[in-house]
Amino acid sequence: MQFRMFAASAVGATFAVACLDTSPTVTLGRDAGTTDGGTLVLPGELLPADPPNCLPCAAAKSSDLRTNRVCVGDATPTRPNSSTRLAAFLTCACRTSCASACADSCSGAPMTTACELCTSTSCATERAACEAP
Amino acid sequence: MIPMRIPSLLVLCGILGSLPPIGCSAIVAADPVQCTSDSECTARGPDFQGTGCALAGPNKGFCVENRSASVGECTTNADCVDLTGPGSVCTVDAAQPRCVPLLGDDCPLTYGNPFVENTVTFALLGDFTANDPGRGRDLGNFEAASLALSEFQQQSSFALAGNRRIALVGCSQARPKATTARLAAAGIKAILGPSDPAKLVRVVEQSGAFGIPVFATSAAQNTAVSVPGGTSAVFLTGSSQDGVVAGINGVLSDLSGTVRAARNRGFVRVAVLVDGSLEAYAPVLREKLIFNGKTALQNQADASCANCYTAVSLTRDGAPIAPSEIAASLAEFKADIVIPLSEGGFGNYLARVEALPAPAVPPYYLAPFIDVEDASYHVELASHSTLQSRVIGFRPLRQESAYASFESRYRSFAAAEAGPGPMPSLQNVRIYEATQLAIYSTFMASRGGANGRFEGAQVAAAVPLVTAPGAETIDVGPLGIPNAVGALARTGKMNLNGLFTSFMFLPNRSAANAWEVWCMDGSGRYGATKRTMTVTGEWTGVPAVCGAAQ
Repeated sequence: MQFRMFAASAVGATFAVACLDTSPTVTLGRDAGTTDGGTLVLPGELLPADPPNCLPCAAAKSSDLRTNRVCVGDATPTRPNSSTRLAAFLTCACRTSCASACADSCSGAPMTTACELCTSTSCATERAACEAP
Repeated sequence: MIPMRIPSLLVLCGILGSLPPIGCSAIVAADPVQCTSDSECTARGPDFQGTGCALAGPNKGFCVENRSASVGECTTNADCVDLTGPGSVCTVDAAQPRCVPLLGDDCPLTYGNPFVENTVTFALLGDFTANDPGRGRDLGNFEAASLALSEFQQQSSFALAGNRRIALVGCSQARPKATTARLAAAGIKAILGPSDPAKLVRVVEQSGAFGIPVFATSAAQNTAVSVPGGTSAVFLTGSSQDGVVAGINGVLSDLSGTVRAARNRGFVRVAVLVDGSLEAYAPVLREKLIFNGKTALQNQADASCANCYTAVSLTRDGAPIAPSEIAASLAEFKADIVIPLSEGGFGNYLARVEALPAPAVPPYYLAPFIDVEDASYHVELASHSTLQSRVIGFRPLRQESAYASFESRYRSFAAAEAGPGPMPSLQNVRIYEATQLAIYSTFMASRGGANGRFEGAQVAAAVPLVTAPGAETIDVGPLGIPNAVGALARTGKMNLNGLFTSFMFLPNRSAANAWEVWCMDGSGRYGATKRTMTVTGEWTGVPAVCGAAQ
């Protein structure tokens, strides 16, 4: 009887998130299941598309920082999507550099004068990125 | 349905360093399957003496020395690093533990360390990734849940059985089914959220089979309760549609008296403005909004008051409708009372409407603050004294001192700079409260399981013990934690009292709502009046008249 020893592979190290977009079911990258559930199969599900008239970063910044309608599908090769740029602006405006000046704006009010002033100096980079066309 | 599979590979010693119970002398041949029973192993010859057939796990179908260890594929999180890669945990509470990825692109946030062995993990669902459109709205929810967790971590009197720690992961709700299914398989013990009520049913469809409790802070989609598994595991801790409508009816009744007297006629004309997810209220209001002694639907059809109800959307095809168009609609309808049900920022919109040429008799506005205390009214209208007297609203009834303490803690926690951070939204508060409810329920579940082992279903089963009517009342917040631990140790139950939430769950699984009426004061603050609605729906105090001394 011949015995072969196999070096193990890190089976299923890849979590197949990308597959979720197109496949109806996804396993987690290995066949050997356990008796309490067999192969783990996840339901596939497409990412939702941007709603019509989603808000670009600049529009969201001036109207409602807490909006839930920021565009996510407007990334370009040189620029992240509006959701990412607004998140960076929010971190600066609401948490790290202008939290006091922007308290109202970060609580649902439109951009106030105090918040405009603070972010124009203390969050200039994030602000410019958000306002970029 | 075609499952995608990465081809099975024969597994042996390369990973066995991380699986100590399985020695490297376990024998694997090139055969795709060696055995289906122990006897087949021993029949393979002297080299197989003492081996058994692994019936599950990564060595399934092979003869191994320590069969019991391979029934489950892991015993610790460390085992899973080699098996499934970083970001995976071993579901140690399951009868047959397995490695499941906990973190992925859809779960970018953590508080606490879910990879410390035996850690209990909660998941908060919301908009947290670059593919989500509402990070500005939901980041505060993660901070609120993290604050609740941090306050327990700082209490020496609080410990789960087995000294297990609790961690939090923040996951996107963009694909609620896929993400929830994975989290459920990873053995999370509770779900907080989702923030989008439209996603709740799909979450419960996946979590229900596991009995994992879902603490949803918005009850707009309470049909999730009827999803299999939801009846015992969904807890709607936010404002229910019926609760909101009860609040509107109460304030509308008060306001109608004022308006009828001012207009010197026997009826009022009411317009509701809806946008975003709150458009779900439109059909409910038609049936349950009461004024002029009739439902909105009856008012709409009543020729004697010239069809005195209308509902207007603030958006068309997802785009905001111009204030001038809304103003024209309201003027044409001759609205006496306007009820904006908006997700936020309506005060700004209202300022633009009011800046237009006003109708001869301008309307009153009845503004419910459901998930957000809309700061835009006071920013835009604080100096508008005549409008201040025409704006009245209600918000969740709260104890001011306890709320002020929470607000201060939250603003400090959320700020990275020395000054205070953003104000919490009402949704943030509810997440904070719901996290405390989940933690106390987990505490009880851990006490009930053997060796501190338990699953999500036990957490769901413990919720009634933590919200038991008649038991010792414990306020949410850090000061309540020692008292809660004492009460639970002595009697096995307590009655958690939220900043907003009574946690008195009604038969439809919604927490009963209590409201307080607010008016805007001269400095632009939303000051509480003495007019309140209790959790049993009774109104107390005299009807509030804004712009007058309260």
